Amino acid sequence: MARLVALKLLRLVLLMFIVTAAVFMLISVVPGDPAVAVLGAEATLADYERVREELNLDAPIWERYASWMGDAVTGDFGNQLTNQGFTVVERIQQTFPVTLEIAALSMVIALLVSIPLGIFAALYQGRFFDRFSSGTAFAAIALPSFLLGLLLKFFFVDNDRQDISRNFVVALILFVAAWLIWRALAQLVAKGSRKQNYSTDFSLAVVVIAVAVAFYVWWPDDFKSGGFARLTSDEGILANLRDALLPALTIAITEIAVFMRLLRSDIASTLQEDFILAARTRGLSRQRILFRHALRPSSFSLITLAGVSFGRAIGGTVIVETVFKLPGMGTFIVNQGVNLSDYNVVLGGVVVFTTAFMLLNTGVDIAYNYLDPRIRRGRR
Amino acid sequence: MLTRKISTRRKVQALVALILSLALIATACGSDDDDDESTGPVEVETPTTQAGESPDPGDEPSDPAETESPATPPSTTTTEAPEVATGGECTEDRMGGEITFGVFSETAGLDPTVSTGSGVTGMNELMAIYDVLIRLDRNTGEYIPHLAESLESNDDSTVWTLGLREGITFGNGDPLNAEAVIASIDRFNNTDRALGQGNQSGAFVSYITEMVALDDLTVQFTLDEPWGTFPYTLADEPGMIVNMNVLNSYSDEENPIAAFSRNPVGAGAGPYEVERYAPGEEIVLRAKDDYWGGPVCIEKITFVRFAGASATYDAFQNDDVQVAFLREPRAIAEARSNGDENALVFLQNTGGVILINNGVRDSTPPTADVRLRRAILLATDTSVMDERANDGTGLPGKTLLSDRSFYYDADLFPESPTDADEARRLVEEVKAEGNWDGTIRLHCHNAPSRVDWAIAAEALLENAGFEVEVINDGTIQDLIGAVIIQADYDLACWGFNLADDTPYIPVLQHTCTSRSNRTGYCSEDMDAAIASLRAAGTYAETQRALADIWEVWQETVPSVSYETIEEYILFKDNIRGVIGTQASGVLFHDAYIEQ
Repeated sequence: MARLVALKLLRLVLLMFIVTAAVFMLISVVPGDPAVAVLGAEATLADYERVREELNLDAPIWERYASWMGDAVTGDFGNQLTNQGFTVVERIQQTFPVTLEIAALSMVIALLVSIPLGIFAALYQGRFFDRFSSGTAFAAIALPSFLLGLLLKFFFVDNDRQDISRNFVVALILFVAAWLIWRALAQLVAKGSRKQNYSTDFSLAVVVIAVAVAFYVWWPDDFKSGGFARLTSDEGILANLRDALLPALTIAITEIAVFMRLLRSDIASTLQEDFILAARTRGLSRQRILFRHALRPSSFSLITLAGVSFGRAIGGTVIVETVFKLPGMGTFIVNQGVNLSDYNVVLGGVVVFTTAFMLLNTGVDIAYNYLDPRIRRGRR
Repeated sequence: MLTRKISTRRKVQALVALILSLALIATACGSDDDDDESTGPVEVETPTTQAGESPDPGDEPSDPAETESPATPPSTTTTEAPEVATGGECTEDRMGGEITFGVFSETAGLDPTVSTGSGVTGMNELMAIYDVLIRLDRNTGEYIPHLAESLESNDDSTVWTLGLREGITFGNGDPLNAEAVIASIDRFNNTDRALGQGNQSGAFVSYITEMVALDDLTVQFTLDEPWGTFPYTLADEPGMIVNMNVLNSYSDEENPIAAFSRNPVGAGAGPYEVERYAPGEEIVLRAKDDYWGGPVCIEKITFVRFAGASATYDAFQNDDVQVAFLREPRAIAEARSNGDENALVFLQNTGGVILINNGVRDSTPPTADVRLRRAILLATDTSVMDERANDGTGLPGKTLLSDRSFYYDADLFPESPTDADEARRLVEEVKAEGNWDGTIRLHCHNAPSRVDWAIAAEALLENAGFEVEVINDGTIQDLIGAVIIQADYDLACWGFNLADDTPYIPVLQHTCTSRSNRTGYCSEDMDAAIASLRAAGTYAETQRALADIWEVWQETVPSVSYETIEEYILFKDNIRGVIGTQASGVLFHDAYIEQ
C-alpha cells in the first residue's frame, strides 16, 4: 500500500510540473495584459509600464516560471495581481470549500438516486421502467449543464413559478406512485404466478408517495438567484444546503443518468453469471442475491466512474458556479485569473485541481483493494 | 375469460386515472400560504416628470450647512422617473433592516486611491465607509458640504477654503481634522504610487498647488488655474478622507496599501464599517452606532455582483437584491415596463463613442485625415446601431449632449447629420489620392451587444465605401491594451461618459497635452474651449463652453459620439432616504426601509 501511495505521489509531482509549465506557457502566449487588469482604462501609458515592471512581466517566460515555481514549492502562490491585498492561497481557501461542497453533494445525490434506479432497471430489464429510465437517462446525458442550471433556475428560483414547478414535480412523482399502484392492483386481480409480486409494487408505491410528501414539505421555497450561505455563516446549515441544492442537482442529474446506465448494465451482466445461478438454485431470496452477491462485483465500474466524475465535478463546476453565482474556485479562476491574465491565480487553481484529481484517483485505486479480494490477493 | 380480465384492468385503470387526475389538479393548483404575499415591487402612484424637467426638489432633506460654493446649474437631475428613493430621512423609529446591492462591477479594493471610482466601480461602497467632504445636490445642482461644514472660493475660483465640522471622528476614534484631510488628499499626488493604485483622481488633485491648514478645522486649497467645479474633486475619491494612522499601521506589510485596501476598519468617518470583504463574493458593511450624522437605519448593506444587467435585474425581481445598478438599455427598458421606477437615473452623455485614432504617438492611421473622420461621422446612423445593439431601447444621437441633459439646447447642440452619399464622396476623394486602399480596422470587445454593434458599424461604414476589418478583442482588457498601450487601432468602440455634474473631466482628454489623450487629437480651438469650461462657474458659462466644444468637435471630428448611456440605480419601493450625488454615486446614511 505504501509503495502504491509513494508511486502516486511521485506521479503527481511530475504531472504538476508538466501541467503548470504548459499552463504558464499558454497564459503567456494568449492576448491579455495583467497591467491593464490592474489599472483599468483610465491610466496613462507610463502607469501601465510601471506596473509591468513591478510585476516583472517583461522578463523571459522561463525566468518568470522559475520564479513562480521557486515560491510555489514553499506553498506560496503569490498575490492576486489585480487585488494585491489577497494572496492566491487565501483566495483558494475561501473559494475551494464552496466548489468541494457542491461537487461532493452532487456525487452524494447522484449515487443515492442512481443506485436504486440502476438496480431496479436491471431487475426489470426490457420492461417499461427499464425502457423509460433508459430514455430519460439519454435525454439527461444530452442536456448540457448550463442549460440544466438555467432550467432549474427558471423553474425553481423565480417567485412566480416555483410553487407551480414544485407542485408539478410532486404530481409527476405521484404519477409514478399511481402507476405502481395500478400495477399492484392489476397483479392482485390477476391469477397465477403474477399474483405474488403485488406486494413489492405496493411497497414501492408507498416509498414513492413518501418521497413526494417529503419533496412537498421540505423542498425550499426561498431559493436565491445568486449567492451562497457558507457553512460557517450565521444563516446556518439549512441555508447552506438550500443554496447548494440546485447547483448540486445541476451536476447530479447528468451523473445520475450515467451512473444508472452503467450500474444497470453491470448488474444485468452479473445476473447472468454462474454463481448467481448457483445462488438461485440454493433457493436464496431475490433481495439476498441482488444485494449480497450481484451488487458488489457490479460496482467496480461505478466506483471508478464516480471517482473520475467527482474529480471532474471539482474542476468543472465553473459553468454551474457562473449560472448560480457561487463564490467557488471555478468562477475565481475564470473571472479573476483567465479573464484578467492573472497567471498566479490560474496556476494556483491548476495545482489545486490537479492535486484533487490525482488524490481522488488514488483513493479509487485504494478502494479497489478493499472491494475486490482478487486485487488484494494479486498484490501479495 | 380474457374479456373479463381486460374489463377488470380497465376499471382499475379508470379508477387510478381518476385519482391521478384529481391529484394533478390539486397539486398543480395548490398554493402556499405565501401566495398572497407579492415579493415584486409595489406600484407607487406618483406623477412622472417630462424629459429634461427639473424634478420636485421638496422631498430631499436639506443639509443644515448651507453651501457657499459658486453658482452651478440649478439642477443636474436627469431622471424621468420620480426619485422616490430620495424622499425622507432615517429616524430612530425607522431603524432596522438589511439590503443587498447588486453592483455593476467590483471595486479593486477598499482604499479610495485603489478603486477606480464612480458608482460604476466602487464609489458607493467607499462612500458608505469614508463619507465625502462635499456632495452634489441633484435637486439644486449645487455642491454642498457633507462631511465638511463649508466650502468657499475666491472670486476667480483659484483659492478654495474648506471648513470642517467639529467633533467628527474616524471609526477608531481619531479626530478628522485639517491635518488628516491634507494627508489623505496628498496621497493622490504620489506619482510613485504603489502597485494596485490605479486611481486617476490624482489628475484632479494635481491641479492643487498648495494645501494649507489655516487652523485645526480649516484647509485652504490653492489651484494652478481657475476651476469653477473644483468641489467635484472633494465630492469624489479625494473627498473620502482616510485615517493615516490606520494606513500606517500596515507599514510592516510587504504591500501596505494592498493590506489596508482589504481591511480598512477604523479608517473612515462614514456611516458603515467593513464587516467582510471577499472579492468575487461580497462586501458586507455594518452600520456604526456613533455616526456623526445621526442614526443609521439600515443595519447591514451587502454589495454583490451578478454577471450582467439581466442577471442583476432577475435577482432584483426575485428580491435577492433590493438595489440594482443597471447600465444596459434592454434591462432598463424591461424594468421600466414592469413598473420598477423607484430609481436614480444618471446620464452619461457620449457614453457610446467610435474612438478614432487621429495619429496618436506619431502613428499614421488613415483616420489622421479629417476627411475620413468626417466621412465616418456622416456614415454613422445611430438609430441603426441602437436597433441592432439595444433592440431600439437605447438613447441614440450624434451629439455632445443628450436632449435630456440639463445643459441641452437644441440650437446650441444640433445633432450631426447623416449623409451616406457625402461620406462616400469623401472616401472616394481620399482613395483617389492613391495613399490609402480604403481599409480601416474597427476594434471592439466581444460582449454580445458590442458584437452586434460592431456588425452594424461595419455595415454602415462599408455602405460609405470603407473596407472594414472588425477585430473582436477577447476581453475589454484586450481592447484597452490595443488602444492605450499599443495604440494600434483605427477605430474602437469606446465611451467618454460626459456627466452633467462634471462635464470638464471627460472632455479633458481632448486637450493636446492631456496624459489621457488616447487619440492623438490636438486642436488649439478645442484647448481654448476646454479651458473655458474648466473656468466656468455658472450655468450659462458652462453651457456656452460646452457649445463651443461641440462646434469645434463637429469641425474637427476627434471621434464620433453615437449614444448616451443611462445608469439606472433601481431600489425596491420601500427603500427611502437614499441620496444621489455625482458620478452615479449614492449615499445611504439617511436611507431606511419603510415598513
